[in-house]
Amino acid sequence: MARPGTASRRELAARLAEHGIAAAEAFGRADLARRLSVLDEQGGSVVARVLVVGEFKQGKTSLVNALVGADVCPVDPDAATLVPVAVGWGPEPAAVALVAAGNGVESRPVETGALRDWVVENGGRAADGAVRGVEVRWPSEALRDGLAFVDLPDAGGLGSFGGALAVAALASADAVLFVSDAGQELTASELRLARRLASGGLPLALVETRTDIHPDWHRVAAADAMHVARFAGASFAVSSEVFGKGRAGGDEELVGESGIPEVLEWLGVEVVEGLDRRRAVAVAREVELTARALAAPLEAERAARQAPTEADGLARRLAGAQEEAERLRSAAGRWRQVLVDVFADLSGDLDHDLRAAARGALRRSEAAVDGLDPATDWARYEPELRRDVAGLVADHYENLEARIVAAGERVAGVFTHDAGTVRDLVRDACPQLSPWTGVALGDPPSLRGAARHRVGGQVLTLLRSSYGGALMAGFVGGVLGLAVATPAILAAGVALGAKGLRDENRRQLAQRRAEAKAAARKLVDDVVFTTAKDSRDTVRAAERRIRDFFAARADELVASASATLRAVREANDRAAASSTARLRDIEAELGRLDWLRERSRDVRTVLGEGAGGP
Amino acid sequence: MNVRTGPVPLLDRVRALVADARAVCADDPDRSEASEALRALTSRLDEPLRIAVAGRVKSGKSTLLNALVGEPLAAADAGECTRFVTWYRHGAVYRTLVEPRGGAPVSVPFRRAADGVHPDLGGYAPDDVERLIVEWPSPVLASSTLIDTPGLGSLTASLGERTTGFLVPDGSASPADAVVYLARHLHAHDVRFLEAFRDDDAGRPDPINAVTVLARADEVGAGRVEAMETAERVAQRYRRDPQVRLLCQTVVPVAGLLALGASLLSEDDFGAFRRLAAADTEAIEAVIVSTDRFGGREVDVGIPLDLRARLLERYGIFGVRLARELVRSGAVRNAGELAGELRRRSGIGQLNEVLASRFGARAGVLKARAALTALGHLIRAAPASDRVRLAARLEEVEAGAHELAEQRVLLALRTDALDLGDEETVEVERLLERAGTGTAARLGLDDDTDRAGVTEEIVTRVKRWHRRAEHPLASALTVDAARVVARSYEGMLLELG
Repeated sequence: MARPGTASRRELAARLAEHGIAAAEAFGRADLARRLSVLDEQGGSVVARVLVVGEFKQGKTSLVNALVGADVCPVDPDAATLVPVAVGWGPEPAAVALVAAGNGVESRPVETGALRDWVVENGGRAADGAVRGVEVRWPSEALRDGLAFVDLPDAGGLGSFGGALAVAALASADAVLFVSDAGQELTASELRLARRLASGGLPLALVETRTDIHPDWHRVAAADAMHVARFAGASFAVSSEVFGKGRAGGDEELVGESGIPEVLEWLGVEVVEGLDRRRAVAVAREVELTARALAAPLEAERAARQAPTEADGLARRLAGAQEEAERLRSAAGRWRQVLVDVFADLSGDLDHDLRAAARGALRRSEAAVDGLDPATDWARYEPELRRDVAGLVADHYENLEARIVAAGERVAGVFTHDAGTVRDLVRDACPQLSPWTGVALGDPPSLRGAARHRVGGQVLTLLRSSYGGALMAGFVGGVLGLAVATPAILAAGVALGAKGLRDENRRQLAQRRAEAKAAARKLVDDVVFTTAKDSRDTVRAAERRIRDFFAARADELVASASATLRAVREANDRAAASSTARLRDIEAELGRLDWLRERSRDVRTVLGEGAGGP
Repeated sequence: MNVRTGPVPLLDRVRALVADARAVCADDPDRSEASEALRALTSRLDEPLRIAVAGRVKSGKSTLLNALVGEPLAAADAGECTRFVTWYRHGAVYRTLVEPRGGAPVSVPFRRAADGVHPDLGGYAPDDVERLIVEWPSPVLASSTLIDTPGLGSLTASLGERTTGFLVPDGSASPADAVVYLARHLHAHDVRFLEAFRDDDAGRPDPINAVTVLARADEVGAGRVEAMETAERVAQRYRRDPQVRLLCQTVVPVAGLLALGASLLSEDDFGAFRRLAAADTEAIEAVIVSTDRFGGREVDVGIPLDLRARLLERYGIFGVRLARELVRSGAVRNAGELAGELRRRSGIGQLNEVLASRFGARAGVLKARAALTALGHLIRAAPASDRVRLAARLEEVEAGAHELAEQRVLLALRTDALDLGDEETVEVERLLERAGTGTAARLGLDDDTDRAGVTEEIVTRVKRWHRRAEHPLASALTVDAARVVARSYEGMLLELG
């Protein structure tokens, strides 16, 4: 299902990055070259994660199989999928299971034919709660462009976490497919969950399944499309069954009737293309800024050569700018102080909020236990408790992400302001320079997705971008981002051993309640402990990452300022004899950098304005 | 009730109690409301059992109701059509009534369409309608009144509230004696719904008076021909689920559309299936793959499009596939056999059996339970002078009724509150649930066990349970349960003579 344009869009970005890297290296700016190449590498490997969410037994797994074009995930008419399954591209079929081990999670290779054991309700291993998720690689054309589907366990089966898992998974997702059986209109709870999932601004499409067996699906689909019109990007009606038959028999007409190609088309345009475009625009922006940074010393040198009498003053003023840049880089940089403060507050606040939420859950549970007899009611109350706790964890992660983003933006604000001071100093020193931006200050980096959770010791924090998409330096989360299987939420799913509660002696009701409360408290404590630890680690990793990002920007700023100053001094020191020849060289170099800037601007114009790519 | 453990059956004692209460209220104009409620209660005790059909939106409530009656009465479509609580009860003539809020039912004209009976609301605004009543001469309705309720979890919140308000009214007893709860798969929502009704009051769904139906069972597993086997597997799993066991008696898969289709199957339909079966395999395979194709694709499969659309509407794609397969393989040779086979596979027979054994055979107890709850509500609202005396009478009846004691034990068993072994649990459940109708079946013996064998077995068990009741380490609840079980066995001995 390769769409025209995807490859060329990527190639365009890659070629532009190549030019930028070559230019940076030619001018001896390895730091800028490195940044571009990291960005470029990420561009090639970024995965667009599509959450597949819906209530119990709505045909989610069949839909994933149809979209992938292969029977990757086991489908069972009875048992439901129990653990999250991510399916992404790989040259060979392969799968790993993420299994709880000690305090962390380890991945174990799994035969792709034996997935059933690991993911399905009545499979052998899925039920014991240790399996956090399964990641599958499949050589499917539909996945080649970077799509990955995350099939989430149901949001409403007996003893499920409700929508908590889906909400917690939003942080790592790029789009959502909300799945509902075409045999009935969306229910109030489905609509609530769908609206909640769309509230974060991710593209969301409603997919009505099993149109092959519901004669009335046209009407249901039309009614549902109206229900979701305000927040969903699109609505589709599909039959995975018809698609499967069409695919098996090579019947293109059936494939077309199944509605599956339309979903893939939407994902291509909305998700893959959007991501590609943002990525290419980010590369173009960086190349443009790099070109400017490289041009600055040349322009300064030209100014110095053209007016030798003013060169001393120019050098003096540039030295002042460089000093300012050095300060920004040093421990005394204001942004560093802000970073430390903001994150200290952040940790404290998050911890406080988590504990307050836990206390709330405990109070609710104690009130509930006081109103029931654990001997008879525990079995029905326990899932409710677990849903409550899972919801608490999901809210915490959402809060965590928002707070990290806000903290990052504050730091970025201070940094941008102070770096702007350096820039202004330079501009004052040498008004002839084109807008001098020795550092990529274009937009503050966004940190959406920063709260990607940990799996074991491996930090999956992905500092991703929005704001036109400058992908932040560093890091693309491991594998397919199955970090969605937040250990804390899954921990909330482990049944409490509450045998003692069955004690039938009526006189001991008070004691049974006390035991039930203790069991509830233990669950809440365990989950809060796991969550707090995970969240501290995430915050620490985010802080480190933000510090590294701005430190690198400060280094670049210093390097740019030094290069400019050096260029002016050298021009001053050397004899004017070669001046004419040197000026010609400078013009030529500037011309080349201009060409690079032009090309970057072109790419941004072509892709940024939403034309369907070149 | 065929088990008599006291000189007077429970229902009669409840009748007497209601009559007493009526006497207290009689001639007192201040108590005309209570008097009216008691009058209604009296007639309710003589009416057929009231079974409410409840479930989420589009779980197939109306279709199932029609399948139970065997003809289309409740109009079903994919929208939220069941907007009112509608009572379907036996009547000598065909008529429909509208009961406005706070008023008496008024007879209104109706229109009979292929999909059901449509009463003409006349001047009543939908919000003013308390309930609709459809009276229909039908042997099924003669044995139990069926009550269709608006879907729960509907986007129109007020519809779901109607059902909740109907089944769990504030401050008074539920008008239904038993509940058939429909679900397509058991969902946390369904459980929460059933839980919401779990209460000490009878008349609300609980493991004594509720049965869960896995409705639209033909849609399980992509509507393939083997769908019903799969659905049975799903139901079996739910039956074992401790959460589900707390909420209902059992779980039965039913394909309502198939069952209704079987009742309506005509010679014409059979002819159509025969032509489908004889049609070119490739052509038929190409259209039977989806409802869109079957209902709209111009390919020669032996029958015209309008007929195909009708078959689809009546049997569903699963029914069409199944019927064609049955005819093609020669498993059935005429309309009667096809109808029988479709009916058998639909699971409606199993549901009927379950309703007969779990509700029908216990109608007296269920009605008595519901009436005692209603009485309790009335007594609590009565003036103090009457309250004390009537409450004592009520308690006497409740405590003295072995039938109710049996239900209590069953409830305790379901909640795992008794320290019984696995075998004992099975034995007691079989005895008290009356799953089988015959004595041997209730004992878990072979049907051909002779009378002497049965008697001997019962005597052994009575002794065993008496010993169980005297076990020094047994808990109070278990002691109580053992006594009740022993007494039930003794009742069986009495019956055998």
